[in-house]
Amino acid sequence: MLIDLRAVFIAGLRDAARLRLALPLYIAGLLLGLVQSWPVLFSASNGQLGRINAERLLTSGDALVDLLTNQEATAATGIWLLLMPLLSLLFSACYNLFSGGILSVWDGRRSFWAGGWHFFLAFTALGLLLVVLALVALGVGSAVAVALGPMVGAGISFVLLQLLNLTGEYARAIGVTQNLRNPFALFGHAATYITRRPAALLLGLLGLALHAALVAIYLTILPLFGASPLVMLFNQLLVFAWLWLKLLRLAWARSLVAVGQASVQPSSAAEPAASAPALS
Amino acid sequence: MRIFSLLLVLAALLPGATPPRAQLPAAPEVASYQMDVRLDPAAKTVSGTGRITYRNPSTDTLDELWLRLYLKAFSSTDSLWIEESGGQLRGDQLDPDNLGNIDLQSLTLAGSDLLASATLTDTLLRVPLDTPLGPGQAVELEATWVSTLPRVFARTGYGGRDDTFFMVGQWYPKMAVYDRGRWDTEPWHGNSEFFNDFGSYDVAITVPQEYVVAGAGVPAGETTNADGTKLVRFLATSVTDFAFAASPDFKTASTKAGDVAVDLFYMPEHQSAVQEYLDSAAGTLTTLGQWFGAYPHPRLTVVDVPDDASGAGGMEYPTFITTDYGGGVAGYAAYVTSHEVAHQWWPMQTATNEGAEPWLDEGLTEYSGARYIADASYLIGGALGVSARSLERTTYLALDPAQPANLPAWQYSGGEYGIVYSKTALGLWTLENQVGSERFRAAMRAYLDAWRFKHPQAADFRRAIEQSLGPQPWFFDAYIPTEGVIDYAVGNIGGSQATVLREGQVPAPVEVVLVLENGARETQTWDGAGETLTITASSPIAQVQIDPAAKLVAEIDIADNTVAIRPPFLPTLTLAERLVFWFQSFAQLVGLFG
Ligand SMILES: [Zn+2]
Repeated sequence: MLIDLRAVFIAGLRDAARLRLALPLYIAGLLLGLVQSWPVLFSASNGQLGRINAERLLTSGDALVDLLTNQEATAATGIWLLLMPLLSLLFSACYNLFSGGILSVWDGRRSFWAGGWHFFLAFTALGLLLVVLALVALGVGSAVAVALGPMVGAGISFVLLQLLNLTGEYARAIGVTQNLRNPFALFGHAATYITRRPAALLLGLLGLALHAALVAIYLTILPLFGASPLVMLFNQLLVFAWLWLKLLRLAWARSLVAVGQASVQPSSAAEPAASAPALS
Repeated sequence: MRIFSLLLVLAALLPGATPPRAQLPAAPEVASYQMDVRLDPAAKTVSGTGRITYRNPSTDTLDELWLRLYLKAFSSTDSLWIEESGGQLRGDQLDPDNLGNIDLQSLTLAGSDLLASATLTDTLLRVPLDTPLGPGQAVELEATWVSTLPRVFARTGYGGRDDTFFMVGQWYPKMAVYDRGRWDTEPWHGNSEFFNDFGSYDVAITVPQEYVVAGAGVPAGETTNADGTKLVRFLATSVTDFAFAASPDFKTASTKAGDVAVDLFYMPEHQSAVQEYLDSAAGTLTTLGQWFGAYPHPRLTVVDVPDDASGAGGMEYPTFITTDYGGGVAGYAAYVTSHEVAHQWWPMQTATNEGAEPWLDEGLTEYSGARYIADASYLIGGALGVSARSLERTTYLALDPAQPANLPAWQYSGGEYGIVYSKTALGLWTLENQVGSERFRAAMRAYLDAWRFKHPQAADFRRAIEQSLGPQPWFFDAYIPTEGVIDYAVGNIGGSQATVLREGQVPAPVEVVLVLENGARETQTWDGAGETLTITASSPIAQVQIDPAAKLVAEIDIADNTVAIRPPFLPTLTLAERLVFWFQSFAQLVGLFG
């Protein structure tokens, strides 16, 4: 089967260009971040922001350690770190809700909210499945690390996690495109799909490279800001760009799946997804 | 010709140019050793013969000699050393089934036996002389001994794969030090390391042919024997001791620091740390050479030890160090290596008495190593790790900071001994920040120049430093020898008046910056006299910052150094955004999975 990769590439870009779709996730992250950070700022300073030398904290990593050796600040940091994974779980829930909405808008069959809620439980279950598999991948990685050295172990873990990440994206894309909601079936279809389509791996690699390039650019430019308050805008730009690249990956996955489905449907017997609607 | 010499001068002045190894005069030969020994890997012994040439360095006549038999400390579980240390060092436990020992089988002077009249107490052997030894006179002692190594413990012994790794330190009959009118007869204590005289070493070591020998000094030939062994020879001058390590598994790598060869012997499983070992060892040699004076030897041997022999790691001998892989944590190997290399200045060139005045040894070394690590921007723990400054501060604060730093090693309990390292290091770092790095390093150079290859004491160190820097009573009288700490805090701010409190006992000079409501900044230096400083500014004060440049790295509580009438808006907002950003980054990295 031949797929017009250029068309998929451009269709994905066009979908992702609807920046408005990234806003709900961006706002959710921002709000959760504020929820997490304000109590800490207050308690770290014993209720008095005036006791924190913010200027020094912003320019010196050592100043942070100095602050942490202060008991109240240590306790506050502990709370901050504990809250981090909990609130990140909430962010994950938002992603499971909004990714269904975003994909549905691109798909055109459901509205943002209708699509989001329609796939919410399925995507949440899929997310849990992915977390379990990610833990397994990390276990494999550490076993390899013991046998072949930490670098090899870390490399294996990284590759496995990236494959899982890609599979998850295609599972969501297939779910919306083919209206499937069984998380196991979604994962199975996606895994089969990406092993059979080099284009999926190629686009996945491209997405990964873009994320890496984004971080490299960020780290290169960051020192130029020094303690300037403009760094706030720059940070938020990175956050938004990272989020947008994630959407681009989803958009490419959906375009690829949609194009494949369109071109295969006439002779659908070979396509596992085609016999799957009963599962939804 | 003149242009040529000018070019040479210019080349030497180029920033970053490695200074050539100085043509320093050799150390006086007080205790020199010629040894011919055999390592028996199966029996875990090093046995052999040696000739000790001892020259009376004093103006007194000596009617007795004292020798140290360090391995006696591991020969039974009721030696002073074992009692004090509880048989454990740095978390290693002495294995009671594999103790160590040194059996001095003969000791003669001009053919006559000295052992019959000698008395052994703990690790110290007192040897009366029939003919007293006059000032400047020398004797040649002939010794035969068998050293039995313990399972690696307290810097020496065997371990590793099938027990084939050997770290051989404190292993031969060694002359004690006669200095300032007395023999140093302090027994070997749990915390203390060594006090040694300078001399030269010529050591021939016979090992099985498959063994690789990492020896101090410089290699001076290798011959193979028909019985499957080989003899390797090492020479060293202007040194105070000799150690070697041997293993059939050693791999080697080398680099240069100027004209000094850095030879690394490492375990194959620690390949990933090789570059860090080499870079940090060469970097420390070069940098400390520029700061304090050149490393006076042509070669430095760096030994990486197996994981199960880590008790042999992180130890210094002249021209020879062992380091620590530390589980492969990035920056940790560099941190340990740099500390051990710094010992090549303190005490390997300034042979202080480590037991009696450990701060002149471990303290100066911890400072020098940490300063190199900071200067070379290493982070311990990788990209998100901590700086040497933060690590030093955290260690200091985790111990009880309210302790003197200058007690004899044996007056600290095992866990508290770390205060000698971190309190001294942070104090010297603070002093450096107060007077400026260039002036401070010049003072350290002056100390080294005055006392190279001698036995300085604390008073000598103080004199040398204060001759360069002027009186530093806060450091020498208040900080080092007392329980005092450095701590300042902002009292209150009212209108154009503010108070600053000295909460610690040490009156270290400190800068106070007043940020005024109109945006102007006024800076004052307080000498720390009295307990309170009241400052009046020219207009209402918005913020008081104590030590804004963070010069007082030894200050225990920095969190109370800044108080503002109201938080400065933009920096506070930026800080808040940074916290939010960290959350967003984490949440997007983890929460967008799949
Ligand atoms: Zn040390």
